[in-house]
Amino acid sequence: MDAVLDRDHDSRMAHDASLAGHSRSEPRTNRASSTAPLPPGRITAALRAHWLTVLFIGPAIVLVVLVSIYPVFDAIALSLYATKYAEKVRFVGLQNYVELLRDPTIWKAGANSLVYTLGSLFVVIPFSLAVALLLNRPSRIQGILRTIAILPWVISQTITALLWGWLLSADFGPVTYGIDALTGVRVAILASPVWAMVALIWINVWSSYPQATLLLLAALQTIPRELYEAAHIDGAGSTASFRHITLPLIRSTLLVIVIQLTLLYFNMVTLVYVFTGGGPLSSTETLALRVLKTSFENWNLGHGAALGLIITLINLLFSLLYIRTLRSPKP
Amino acid sequence: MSRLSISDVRKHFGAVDIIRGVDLEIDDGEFAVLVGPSGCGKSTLLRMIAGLETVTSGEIRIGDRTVNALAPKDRDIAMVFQSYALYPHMNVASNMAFSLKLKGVPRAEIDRHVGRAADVLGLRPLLARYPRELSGGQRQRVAMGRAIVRDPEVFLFDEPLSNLDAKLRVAMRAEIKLLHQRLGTTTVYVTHDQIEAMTMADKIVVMRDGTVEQIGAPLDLYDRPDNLFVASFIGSPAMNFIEGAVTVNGTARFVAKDGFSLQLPRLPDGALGRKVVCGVRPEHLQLGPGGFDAEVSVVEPTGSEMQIVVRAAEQDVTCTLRKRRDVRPGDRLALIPSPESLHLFDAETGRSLH
Repeated sequence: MDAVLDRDHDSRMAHDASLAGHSRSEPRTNRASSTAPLPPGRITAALRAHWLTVLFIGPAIVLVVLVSIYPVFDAIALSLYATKYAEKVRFVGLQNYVELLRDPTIWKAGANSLVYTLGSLFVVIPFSLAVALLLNRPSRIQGILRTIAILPWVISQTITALLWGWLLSADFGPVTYGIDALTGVRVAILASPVWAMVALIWINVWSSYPQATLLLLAALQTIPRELYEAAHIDGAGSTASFRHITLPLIRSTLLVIVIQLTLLYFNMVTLVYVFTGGGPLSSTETLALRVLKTSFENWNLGHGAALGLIITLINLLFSLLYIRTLRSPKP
Repeated sequence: MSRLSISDVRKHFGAVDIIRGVDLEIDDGEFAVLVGPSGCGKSTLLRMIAGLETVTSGEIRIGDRTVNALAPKDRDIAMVFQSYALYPHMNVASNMAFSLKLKGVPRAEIDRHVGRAADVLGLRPLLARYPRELSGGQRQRVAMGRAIVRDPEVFLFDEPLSNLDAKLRVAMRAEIKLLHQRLGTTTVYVTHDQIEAMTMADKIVVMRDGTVEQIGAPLDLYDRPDNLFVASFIGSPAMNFIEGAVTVNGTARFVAKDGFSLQLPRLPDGALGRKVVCGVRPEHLQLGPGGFDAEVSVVEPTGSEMQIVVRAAEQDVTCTLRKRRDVRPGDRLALIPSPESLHLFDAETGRSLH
């Protein structure tokens, strides 16, 4: 199988290479010879002439092919096979996909992904913008404030998940204790399907907002002070300034952030896996987590690969949609 | 249209005094220019009038209202910034309409105001364009349009021409002056360019180090500068200064340090027995005997006139000749100033000795 795959893969690579060569030589019409397939002797001659170029870009190409291009095609192939552990058992065509789409728990995971991604975006955008606006004000302790604001970002997702898991623990979590002391109700946040998702969204926002804040802060700092002064003289208060000056001028940055974070959230595994593991009752099991579980807990690599490709397609769709929005002319 | 009064206005940033007590009256409909070298406080003073900087002490009045505590939008002023500060995400029409829109003026009325301002400035064909699609001069015009639309009591201009090339600057200078003649709105205009000040102003306010050095009509400042600073700042090329003393021997004469002497029309008060500086404008020096001899070091013909730098009294003296002459570096010339055009200043205080 691998041999077949490799041959397929090689021929595709050769095709790509010839395409690249073709397009590169197009403007130089005087080098008509390069458009035709080179005989072996010419290839060696070309290699000898350009050995330095090959030496420099060769390793990079090998690396990209090995870790980036080969796995994609391997995954496509894998998704068309029934598997047993890491072995392909037999070719089943689109059977894996059909089974996945017929599985109601997959649709549930899809819905969870949607809630998790949109819920996080809904909170993180206003939150990060508010923090960026605060940090943009001149302050004597600006350096300290900025450092504090960035801290959650530098903490690894595993640590974040463990930290918040401990804070919210039903048995000994300080937050649980605090709620108990204030209201007399002992809540088990991570045992409730709804509250577990809420908590998950919150820690996700907590760990990822600095990324958005930094970008927004940079965007805010590019807005010239005179624009605010002109607006001030024109009669704009702080709300009107924000609406008519700040918001339109950071719009493209906001869009970039939304794209980045959508992809980040939709594909997030570590945080979810360590914090809730998908529970309780699969209420926080997202599609990305499901890929991991299907592949490496249930060891159904065929299904895992198929689901992974579906996610990739959704990601592509998201990206295309956003890129179109970004490219559309300004109002 | 309103009168603008500034009395004993001061501004400190921490321990630094930016404005050290300025008194200034600008009449209704007057075009006043604040001019001075960079860091003299002229822009700060303008921003204080606009309400963009607080006033540490003193009073600013527009019309019959004290505006110290008023927000910029309540002062009934409009400002044109050096960078134009056009809203980049709005087209020309929206830029001009912004203040009216915020005021809640009905759409039809906004359109009428914007249309009228656009006609005044010839902006009609540009109304749908964005600032990035405009040239420097057009942006400048839109910034003025935005100010006109508001029909304010006072126009404030903060070095509005300094981002334009020399030719456009001259054209816009005339345009702003024309606009002022047409609208008659009280205007305060800040520049570091004394030519702009001379050509545009009804009243020039020369500032240095946060204080006013002299206030007056352009030609008053040119003819009767109060002190060495104003004398050197107003006029281009700058006035020549020669150190020396005044003697009386039948007639009053100025005697330069290296010996030559110039006849004075009269003996200025208190000029005897002290070190003085004699100022003479390059355009008031003529070729002819009775003055001083000098060796030509540089000749700069501009077409309409010739500027010659000569060496006299151990210093460079600039001379502007209206008539073309075959003068070359190394030639010796006899130069004489007309006595009426000599300015005498106290060398220690820099004050004019009339």
